[in-house]
Amino acid sequence: MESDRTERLDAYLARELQQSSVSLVEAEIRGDEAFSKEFVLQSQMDAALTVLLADEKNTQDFAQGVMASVQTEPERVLAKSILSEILDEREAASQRHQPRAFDWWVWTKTAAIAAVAAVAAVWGLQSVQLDSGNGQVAPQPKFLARLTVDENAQWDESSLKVREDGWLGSGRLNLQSGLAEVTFGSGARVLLEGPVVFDIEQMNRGFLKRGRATAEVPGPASGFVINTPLMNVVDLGTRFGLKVKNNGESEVHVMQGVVEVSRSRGRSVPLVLTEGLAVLADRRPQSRLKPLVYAGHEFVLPEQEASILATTRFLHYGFDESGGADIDDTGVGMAGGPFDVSLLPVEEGVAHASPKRTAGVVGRGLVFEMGSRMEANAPSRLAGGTQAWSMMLWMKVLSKAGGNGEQEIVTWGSGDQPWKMGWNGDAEAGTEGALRADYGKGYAVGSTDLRDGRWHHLALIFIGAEENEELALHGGNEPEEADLVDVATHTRLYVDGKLESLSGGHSEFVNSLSADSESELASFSLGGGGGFAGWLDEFYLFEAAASSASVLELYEMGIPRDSKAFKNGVNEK
Amino acid sequence: MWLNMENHLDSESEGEVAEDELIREVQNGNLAAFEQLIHLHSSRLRAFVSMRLPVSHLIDEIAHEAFVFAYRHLDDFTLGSNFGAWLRAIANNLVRAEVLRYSRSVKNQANYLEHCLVESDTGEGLAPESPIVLYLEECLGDLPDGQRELLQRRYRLTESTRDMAEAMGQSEAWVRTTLCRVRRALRTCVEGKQELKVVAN
Repeated sequence: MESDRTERLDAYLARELQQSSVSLVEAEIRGDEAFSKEFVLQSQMDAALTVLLADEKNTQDFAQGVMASVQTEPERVLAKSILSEILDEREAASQRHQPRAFDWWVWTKTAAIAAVAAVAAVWGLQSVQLDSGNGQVAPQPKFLARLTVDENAQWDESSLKVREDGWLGSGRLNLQSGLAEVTFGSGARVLLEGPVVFDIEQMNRGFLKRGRATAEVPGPASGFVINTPLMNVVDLGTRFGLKVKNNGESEVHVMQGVVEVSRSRGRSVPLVLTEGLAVLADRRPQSRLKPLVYAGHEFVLPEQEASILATTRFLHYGFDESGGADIDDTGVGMAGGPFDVSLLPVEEGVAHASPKRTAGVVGRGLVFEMGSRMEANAPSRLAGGTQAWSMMLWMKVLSKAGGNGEQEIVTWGSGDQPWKMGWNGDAEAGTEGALRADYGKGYAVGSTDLRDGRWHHLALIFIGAEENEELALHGGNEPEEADLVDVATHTRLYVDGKLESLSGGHSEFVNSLSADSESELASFSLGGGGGFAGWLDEFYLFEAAASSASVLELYEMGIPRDSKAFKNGVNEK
Repeated sequence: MWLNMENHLDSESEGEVAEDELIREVQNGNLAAFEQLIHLHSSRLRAFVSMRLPVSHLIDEIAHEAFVFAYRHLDDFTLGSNFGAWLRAIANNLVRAEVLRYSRSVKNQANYLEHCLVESDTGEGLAPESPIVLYLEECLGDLPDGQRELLQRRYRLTESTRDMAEAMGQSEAWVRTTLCRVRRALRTCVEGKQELKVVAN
C-alpha cells in the first residue's frame, strides 16, 4: 500500500500520471498529513535536481532571458506608454455604443448591413472611433489596408473579400497557400506565408491567429501592432518575423530595429527586443517570455515596392522655372511625356493675382498672398468621378494663420461639386488647422495642426470605387449602399509621410458621372478660390491611389538625406 | 554533466576573488561580466528557489527577477561579501512576496497540489544564508554509482520510467520507489550538513 502511494507520487512528479490518478494523489495528500509532508519534500528535491542536473542549454536560455531584461530596462518606460495607449484606446472603444451620426441610415437599412454591424460589435474591443472636436463621433475609413503582393495566393472561402484593386476592410484573411502582402494604411507591410490566418483590425494593427508573417514597418508607422493569441508585439520602426502555432504559442524574431514584446495575459512586463533576438510566448501559465535561438533568416522578406513615379501617370509642378508667369507641368502623362497642362495666373482684377517665386523645399517654390491663385485645365480623368487619384504637395502657413471655415489650397473637378484640399478653419468640424478634404457637403479632417510656420508634406488619397462598382453605377443599376463611395470613408490624409487619424468628417457620396475621355477637361486651381496665404512646392497629382510607401517616398524626396528629420521620419523643416 | 556538476563543488569562498573582479567590471559598465555572473550562479539560485517553492513556472521567474534586481542594485553590494548569499536573500524576499500574492488569489486554490506546495513554504530550514544547494551538490557527489545513474537518466537524459527500467534491468516499481528513496536520502544528507554547520558555529 505504502509502496503504491510512493509509486504514484513519483509518477506524478515525472508527469506520467493520468488525470484520474492525479485526483487520487490529491485525495491522499488531503487526508494524510505525513503523506502531504512527503509530497512537499519529494517535490522540492525533484525540482532542485531538475535544475541542477538539466543540460547546459537550459542555463544558457535562462541567462539570455535575464540579459535581455537587463539590456532593455531603460527603454521600458517609452515602450510601456505605447501599450498603455492601446489599452486606453480599447477601453474607450468598449465604452462607446452610440451610433455614428453621419451614416446612421446606411447602417439600419438592410439585413446584410445588420450583419456587418454585428461583426463590428464583435470587433468593438479592437477598433475605435475618434471624437471630433465637438464631441461627435468621426467616421472611420472603410478600407484599412491593401493587398499589394499576391503570389499564387489561394484564399479560403471564408476569407475577407478583396476588392479588385486590392483594397481591404477590417476582417479575417485566411490564406491557404502562397504568399500575400498586406500594406496597412499606416505604411506597415505584412507578408503572409500560407497557410496563415490574419485579421486586419485597424490601419496600424493586425492579429496573427496562426501561421507565419513578416512585418516591415517604416518610421512613420512606428507603433504598428501585431497581436497573437499569446503575445503583443509593438513595432518601434523595424522588421520582424512572427510565427504562431495552432495552439497559439508565438515566436517573434527581430531582424532589424527594435520591437516591444509582452505576453497578452498575466502580469507581463514588456520586453524590448533588438536586432538578432527572438523570444517565445508558450502556453505555460507564466508571465516570462522564453528566449529562443534567432531564426530570422527563415522568414520571407517583403520586396521593395515599385515607385509610383515609375508606374503611374502624374502631373507635377516643381515651380523651379527661372522666370515667367506660367508654371510648366513636368510630370509623366500620355506616351511617357508630360500632360502639358501649364498653370496660369488668374488676373481677374485682383491686385496680387500672381503668386511670387520664393525658396521652396526643393529648389524654388511659390508664395501666395490672399487673392492670388493659378489655374489650369487638367484631364478630367484626374479630377472627377469615382476613379482613384492622389494629390501631394509641400505647404507652409504662418503660425498665426486664421480664418473662418474652409481654407482651400487646391480646388479641382468638374461640375458644381469640386474637390477641395486645404486646412480646417472650422473648430466644429474637427481639429483647427488640420489637413481637410471637401467634396460637396462632405469632408474629412485630420488631426495635426499645420499652422506652425514650417513646411509640411500633405497627401490626400482618394481610394475611389472598384471597377465593377463603377460599371454598375454607370449602368444605372441601384447601387448597394455599402458600395457607395463616400468622401468621409474613401479618403486618406497624410502629413509628413504619416497617416492622419480623423478628428472629424461628414458623409457625402461622390458623384460617379465622370468623363473618361482624355480630351475632356476639368478646372484646376492652386490657391483655392483665392483665400490661401502661404507657401507651396512640389505639387503632384497621380491618377491612382498612392500607397503609404509612395507617400513616404515623396515626402522623403523633400527632406535632405543627412537631416535628423530624414532619419527620424519627423518633419523638422 | 556529472563532471560539470562536480566542478561546482568548490566552496563559495574559493571563487569569490574572481567573482569580485566580475562584479567590479559590471559596476564599471561591462554588461558581459554580468552574464558570467549569471552562469556562475543561475543553477544554484534556481535550485534554491526550487527547494523553497517547487512550482515549475515560478522557479525561473523568481530567479530571473532576482538577477535583474541584483543588476539594478549592484552598486549596493559590498565587494568581498558573499554574492551567492546576497542573491539568495533577494530570491527569498521574492518567494515570500509570491507566496503572499498567491494565497490572496482564490483562483489559485483550484489547483490543490500546487496550492499545497506554495502554502508549505515557511522558510524554515532553508534560510538564504545557508548554502543549502552547495550541500546538495556535496551529497550528490557522495552517492553510489547506481543511484547517480538513476538520477542522471531521470533528470539529465529525461528518460521515461519504462525506458529507465528496461535499461537498468529493473521493474518500473523499483525505479519509482528507488528514486523516492534517493531524494529522501539526499534531503536527509543536506539537513545533516546544515546541522553540522550550526553546531560548528
